[in-house]
Parts: sequence; C-alpha cells; structure tokens
Amino acid sequence: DLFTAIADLQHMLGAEKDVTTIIDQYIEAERARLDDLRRYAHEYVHRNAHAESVGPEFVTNPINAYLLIKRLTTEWKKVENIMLNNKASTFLKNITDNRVRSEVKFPGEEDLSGAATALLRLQDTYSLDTLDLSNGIIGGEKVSNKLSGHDTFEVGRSAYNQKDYYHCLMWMQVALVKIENENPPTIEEWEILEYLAYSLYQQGNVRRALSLTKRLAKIAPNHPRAKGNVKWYEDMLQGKDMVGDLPPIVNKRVEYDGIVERDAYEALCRGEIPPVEPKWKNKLRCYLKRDKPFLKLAPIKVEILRFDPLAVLFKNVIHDSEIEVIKELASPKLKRATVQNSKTGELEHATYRISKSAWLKGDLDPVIDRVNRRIEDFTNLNQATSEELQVANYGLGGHYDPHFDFARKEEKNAFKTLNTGNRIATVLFYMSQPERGGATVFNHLGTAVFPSKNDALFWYNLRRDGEGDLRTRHAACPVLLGVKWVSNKWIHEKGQEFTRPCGLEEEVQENFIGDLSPYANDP
Amino acid sequence: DLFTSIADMQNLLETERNIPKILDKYIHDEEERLVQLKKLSEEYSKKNEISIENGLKDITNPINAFLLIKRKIFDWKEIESKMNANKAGNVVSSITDDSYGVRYPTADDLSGAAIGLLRLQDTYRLDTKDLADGKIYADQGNYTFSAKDCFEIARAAYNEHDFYHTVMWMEEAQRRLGDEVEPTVEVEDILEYLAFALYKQNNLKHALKLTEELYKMNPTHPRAKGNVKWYEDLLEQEGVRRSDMRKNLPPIQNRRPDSVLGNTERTMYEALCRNEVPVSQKDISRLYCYYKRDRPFLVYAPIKVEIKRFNPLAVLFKDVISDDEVAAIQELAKPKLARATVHDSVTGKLVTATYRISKSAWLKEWEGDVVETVNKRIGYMTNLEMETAEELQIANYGIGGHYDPHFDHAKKEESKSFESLGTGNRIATVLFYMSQPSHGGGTVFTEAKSTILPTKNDALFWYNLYKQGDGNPDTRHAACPVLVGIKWVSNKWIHEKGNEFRRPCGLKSSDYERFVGDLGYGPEPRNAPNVSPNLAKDVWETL
Repeated sequence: DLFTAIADLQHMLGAEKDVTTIIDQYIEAERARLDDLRRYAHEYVHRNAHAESVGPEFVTNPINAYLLIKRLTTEWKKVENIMLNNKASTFLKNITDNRVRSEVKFPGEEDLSGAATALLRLQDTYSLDTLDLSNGIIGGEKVSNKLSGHDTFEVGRSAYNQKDYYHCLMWMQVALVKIENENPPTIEEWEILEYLAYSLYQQGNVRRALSLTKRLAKIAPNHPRAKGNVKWYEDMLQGKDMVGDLPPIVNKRVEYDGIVERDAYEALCRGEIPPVEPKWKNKLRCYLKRDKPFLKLAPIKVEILRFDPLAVLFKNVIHDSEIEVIKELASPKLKRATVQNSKTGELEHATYRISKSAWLKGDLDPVIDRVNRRIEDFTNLNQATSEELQVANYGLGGHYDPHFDFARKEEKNAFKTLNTGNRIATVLFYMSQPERGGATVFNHLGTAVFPSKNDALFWYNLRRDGEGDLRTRHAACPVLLGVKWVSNKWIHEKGQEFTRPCGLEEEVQENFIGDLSPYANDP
Repeated sequence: DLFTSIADMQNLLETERNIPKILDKYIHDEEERLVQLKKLSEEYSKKNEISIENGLKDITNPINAFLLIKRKIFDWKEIESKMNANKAGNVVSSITDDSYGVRYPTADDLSGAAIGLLRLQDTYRLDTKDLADGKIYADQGNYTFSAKDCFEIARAAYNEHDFYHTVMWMEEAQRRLGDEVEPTVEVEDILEYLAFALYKQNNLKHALKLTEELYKMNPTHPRAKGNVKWYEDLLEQEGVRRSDMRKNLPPIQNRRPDSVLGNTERTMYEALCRNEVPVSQKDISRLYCYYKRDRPFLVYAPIKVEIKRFNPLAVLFKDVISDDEVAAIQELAKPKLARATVHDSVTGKLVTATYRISKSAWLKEWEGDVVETVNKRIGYMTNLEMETAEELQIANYGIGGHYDPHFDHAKKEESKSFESLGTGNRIATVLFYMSQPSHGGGTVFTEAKSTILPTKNDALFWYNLYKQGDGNPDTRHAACPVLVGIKWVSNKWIHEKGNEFRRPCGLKSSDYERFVGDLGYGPEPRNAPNVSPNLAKDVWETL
C-alpha cells in the first residue's frame, strides 16, 4: 500500500540507487560464468574429435563405454551446473533484502491500482476534467507531465477492475484520443475499444457499444469475443431503432448510501463553503490567550473559526525545527492507520482511513514533551490522560472519510482499555501546507479549515454535559498537490473535572478556550 | 538404464557432436541478454536520479506520483524478467529431454556400468590391472583408468556390499595413485574403504594396519582412531595377543561371494563362457553337417545345417539371414528397444526381469516385409508351425549385458505361463545371431555343457520339450556377457499348438530327434539325402 504515504516514495527513491549497483554486479558475475562455459565447450569439441575418429566402434569397447557414461554423468553435471548457476535469483534476493534493510517499500500491482484509484478520487472531489488531468493540467495550470495513451489506459483499467464504469468510460475515451497523436501508439486501439465498449454498455449506451464493437471486429478480426459481442448487442437492440444518429452518451455516476454527505463533503473540499450566519459574523475574532502565568509573557494567538460548537486555530504553535524532529521520529513508524472497533474494542486497520500513522510517546524526545506541555497551555486541559501524539502522512489521494473522534453511546467498548473516558477534545497540528486540497471539513456545520503550516486546529468533541456533539462529524479532504503531514492529540475526559466543569444548563458551551462559565452566554 | 544397450550409446555419441554447437549458441544468447540488461540498468539509474533531483515536486504531484509508481513497476518487471531470462534451463532440458530421441546417462547408469565391468572381469577372468590399463586379451585400448576411475568402480562394488571387488579395485586405485603427479583421489579415502573391505573379507590384521596408516596420516580423521580400537578388540576376541596384532600378517584372503545361482552353476556358466569346458572327441566325431532338403522348395535351395550337439539336439542353420535383412530388422527395432520382460510364473503377466540385462523389441509380420520373409524362412528351417509362434523378438546387449541361466519353456509348476497366449508351451527356440562380437557373447547350455559362439547370419535352434511334451531340463541355457564388440540377436519362440503333425509324439519317453524334422522313421541325413520319408524310394535314388 505504497500509495498511502508520500514518505515511502521519497525513501524508495533514495534506496533505489543501490539497486543498479547490485544489477551491475550481477552482470559481471554472469560474464564470468559464460567464460567458464566457453572454455568447457572448447574442451567438449576436443573430446568429441577423438571419439569420432574411432567411429561407432568406440562404444563397443567396455572401457570406452564406461568412460563415456562417466564423462556424461559427472562432467555433464558440471556443465549443467555452470549453465543453471544463474545468479539472478541470488542478486534479486540481494535487491529485495537491500530494500527490506532500508525499510523501503517497493511498489506492486496493488500500488499501481491504488494510485489510479486515488487519481479518480481527486478527479471527483475537485471536479477535474479528464483530458486536462491526463495532460497534467490542474486548475488551469500545467503542473505535471502528460500521461501517455498507455498511462491513461491503465487508469481506466483500474476503474474497470473496480467495476467503476463511470470512470472507465471517461478515461478510455481520452486514451483513444491520445493514441491518435502517438506514433507508435503506446497501447493498441483494439485493447481500448474492448474496455470502452463494455463500459458504454454497462452505462446504458448499447448502440454506441455496438458501434465500437463493430469497429473492434474490423480492426482485430481474430479477436475471440468481438463477433459474439456484436451479435449480443444487436440482440439487445432487437426491435429498437438501429439507424440514425447515435444518442448522446449517458454516463451516470454511481450512487451509494452517503450520497448527500458525499456531495456536501466534496463541495466543502473544493472550498465551496456556505456563508457564515449573520448571527456569528460580527463576533468572530482573534485574541491573545494570556490566562495562565506563563502566557502573560508569551501569549498564544487564537483565531476563532466558528462558534456553536467552538473551533479555533492556534497560530504558530509548532516551530519548523520541531516539525522536522517529529517527522524524523515518525517516519520509521508509519503504518496503516488503525481505529478501535466499536464492538470489540480492539484496534484494527481501517480501510476507510487512507493515511499512514505513527504514535510518539512524551519521553521519546524532549520535543514531544515540550509539545505536550504547550498543548496544555493553549487548551487548559490536562495532558496526563491524553493519548500519545499521533503523526500521519497522507499519500496520493489520501483522505479520511467523515467520522466522529468520540465514541457514541452505542460504542460502549471504545477506549475501554484506556480507562480514561471518552475523547473530550481534539488538537490537530498542521505540519505542512499542501498547495491544493487537504482541508479539514465539518460536514454538518458546513465549515472547512485549510491547512496552514505551524498552526493547530482545536475543537471540543463533547458537550459540557459529557454527551457527544454530533455536529463535530468531520473528514479530511484528499491532497491534490503537495504533501500533508499532521499530528493529532486526543484529550480524554478523566482529569478534566476542574479544567472543564459541567455546565448547569444543557445549552451551555464555551465562547472561548478555557471558558469556565456555568451559564450560557452570548460571546 | 543406459548401460544395457550399445545402440543407445551410439546414438549418444551422435548427439554429443551437437552439444558444443548448442553451448556456443547459448553463450551467444546470454551475452546478448547481458548487454540488454546493462542498458536497462543504466536507464533505470538515470530515471531514478532524475526523480531524486526533482525532489518533492515529482512525488507530491498526483500525476507524477502515478507515473513514478507505474514506471517503477513496469521498468522493474522488465529488468527482473531479463535477469531471470537465463535460457540454461531450456537448453539443458532440450539436450536431456526425450525429444532429442536420446537418453542421457544418470548416476544409476554410471553405477550400472561399473557393475557391468565387474561382471566382465569375473566371467572372463580379467586381471584388474590389465582391465584398468584398457587391455582386453591382445587388444590395447586407447584409455587407461585414473586412480579416481578405479576408486569409483570400487565404490560401486562397495555400495553393492561386494567386498571381493572392492578390495581388488581399491588396491588398484592405491597402486595408480602412487604414479600420479596430480592425485585424482585422496589416499585417505582409499585407505578407509580398503580397510573396511579387508575386514569384511576376514583380513583383520591388514585392516588394522591400513587404519593405523590412515590415523598417522590424519590424526583428526573422524573415524580412524575409533576403528583402530575396534579392530584391536576384534583381534583380541579371536585370541590374538596385543603384541602379535601387527606381526605375521597372513596372505590376503579375498573370497568371492556366493552366487544366487549356486556356485557350481556359476562356475560352469563362466567356464563355458570362456569356452574352457572340454568336449569328448568321441562326441565331436559324431557331429556332422548336411543339406536340409526335406521340403519341395528346399530341394533347389537347401539350408546348410551344422549339428552342434545331440540329445538334446542343437543345430546351427548357416547363412539364413542376410546382412540387408539384419540391417532392416535393427532399424525397425531401435525405436522400440525396451528392458526385456519375461512371464511371471505365478501371475502369468509379463514383468520386467532384473536378471535379464538387455534391451528388447517385438516385431509383428505386418511391420515390415523382412519380418514376414524371415518368419516364412523359419518355417522351412524348422518344419514347425509359425502361425502360433511368438513375434520376432530383437535384443541388443550393452556393456556387460548377459542373461542368467534359465529355461525358455514353462516348467510343470509354472502352470500360468503363456496361459494368455493359449498356444501351449514353447516347443522350440530359434536364435538368430545378427552380429558377431569380437569377444564373448556366447550362448551356453549349463546342463548339456556346450558353448555356441555367435556367428553372424546364422541361427541356433533347439527343441525345449521332449517329444511327449514335458520340458527338457537339459535345455537350460544362458547368454554370456559381451566382452568386446556388439551383440544383436533375434528370437523366435515356437509353441506347441499346431505342431501335432509336424512333430508328433514319440512312442517312448526316451524318443528324441536325430535331426531337425525327424519324424522317427527314415534314414539320417548322415547316410542318405535329407528328403521327406513320404517320397517314394525311387525318387531318393535320383537325387
């Protein structure tokens, strides 16, 4: 699953330098082996010359017969060993071992498929045109290399393998356009036509499928399925209009349960944010947090992003050098993110969370300890019971589907092993700033926060009475350009009894960080 | 089991000629592959360097990241397949596979070849040194054995628990090692095997002596010290005092192991193979030759018959198969040569006989005109019915190839043999000699004590059954191993059914033929023309 982390790709490129050295060593070893073999072939000729001079009677003498058999069993074995002594598997193993030692993850078929799937996600989320994307154009700007016909075909094929005919159709059409300009073509037209025709059929465009399949049968007369498919499409169209102009292509995007949430999510990711309610507009402000003795000398800059529920951005709370240390500590530990299974309470890999994560303890490095103390300063919440600092690196198309950070009532077993109560609040450090994408969005609230390096996003997950706040459902948007590193600190209930006391009324909530008021107040 | 057929080895020599060409082509292809791999490696390195120089830009862009991953996979796949594309496996397979029509020897073949050599040595009483020097009687071979060659023959014998030959050949290896500038085998290995074999042949003092030499030579040898102690203990049990264990070494005993045939029969068999069994002058003086003219066709084209032995009668039909016919039959047989089979006397099924070391093929009449012609001729030669006879069997004997003493007919207790054929027992045997080895390869009758050496173009014939139908134990016979040369034979086994009038029962159990086709009355060919007794007397007198 290489595609889930950019760090893996960077690491691989560096380590791959060793691979060519090993290959060169292999080539030298092979040349030596062939020299041995050449010498032996010469000896063979010499021996044969003698046997031939004697003629067929050579083997009617028992001594000669025995020596012939002996030569063939033992000496042939030598030749056979030299010939079969291809060291390729040894050298290939060296390369594999070298990669393992360097903790490099070399891409496999799944990675290629995953990379293609990620491209499709980016395309959908950011409403990118297929042709533009395949030409390296994003947002009207040329940002990358062009895809060849074969490259484009591979993306389409990945979609096909996921039964995603919507994308398969689009990408195969572009592949067809691209090979018109390629000489020689990087993929055969008939291969594209086969996938394209089937996708058109699956999306309800039978006449167009028939038309393309006829073209396929003409281009590749020996194709095993073309003629059969022509007949099949014709049968499907039986009794219907088969003349006249072909109807416009229908290419419906697949539906799934969360359709409403998905549309809202994608709109927010694109920055299509609904306007702030007039009620709150004039009240959003920034302030200097100086409510602790230390902060009087070094106040924390706070930007209030949203009230009800409160979300703030702590500005410049993590330094570049601290970020570098944390990334260095996290890189060896990055692995697929896990979540707690709400039924069993066990940690398991979450297929819906596409990122790599690492956990860092406070005593691992003074930087971690310092960051933890700073979190206490700017949240006023007890850190003794919080989770370890989680560091995540999002890869190509990496994202995190809408979710809650707290355990809901029905998820009784979550956090049971921690024995520190539910997650009362979340701190999200932005350790990098992607060029495009990578926002944190709150679906129900209709708000989006775009990453800004050195800042930390903060929100309370639970209301003052301890119940989960359903409005805090949030998600991570896929990164379109750039790289995204974040670290999370999840703070738990236990130990917060005096730092965040219960409110006396149900609707009590903070108007600022550290607000201890037991009554509901307008900010 | 390559060693069982000379024909296989001749084919092998032909194929061997191709091997250098195949190797050269392989080497050329491999060099081409390495050139391509070098190019791919350089391209790979270049691309990787470019990606590194581009830094984050290359991998933080989704298009470039995708292209990078794809290129890694496809480029690497090409390199991997180029590295794994060594064609050696295919070349080796094509050389050794049956598709070449030639079977390559294996370790079993080498071991079998060594055993074959030992059989030749025993049968013909060949001196180990002479044999290792390539001398066979007056023939001086072109190769001599190295110490290692001798060692390996000895080891083959050792693996068969044949310590008799192990002693002889390890001693020869030891002698040769002394003359070798570059030793081909370790003296320690020879001493260890030789000592053990001597011990097994009851030469304890000699075993001890050699093991001590081994120990002095290599004090760290894993077994030498323990073996010295062991041999000393054994000698002590025999009542030998410690001070006498290294004195008065007796002559080396090397008793030949007992034979499964029984030592008496084996001795007779081997003596007969060497043609050393004397035949009385009286018996020889009674033998004669005659023209067989007892069939109308034969009146004008008589068959020359040489009587080799009376009671039981054995004759040699002279010049009854031409060189052309021999060549044609061999050609038909070669693709079919397979390990000889015999009828299992209990089950009646054909089974592979471990004791018959030859390759055989069966030819039906319709497979070639020559087979039909030969079958007809056998009818004229023997006066017996061919319709119920077995197919013509062709056999090719390899190095040391032989056939242990046996009967061609089924004995009374072997009631199931030939049951499936439904034609009764084997009444007679015809054995064509299609080649003439330089030395060895005779047919011997161990009970009748007679030897017939192969003569090309001739056919040996004898009746297996008495005239009243019982098997004749005096027809027990064997094939001798070929010492030098090549042996091809074909057999025709004739069965009882259909021969009721051609070979009628005798009136007494002691009745036997005086000549081929003897019906019990009429004059012997010795004294009168060999014509049918059914002809009138005046016809006799006109010939």
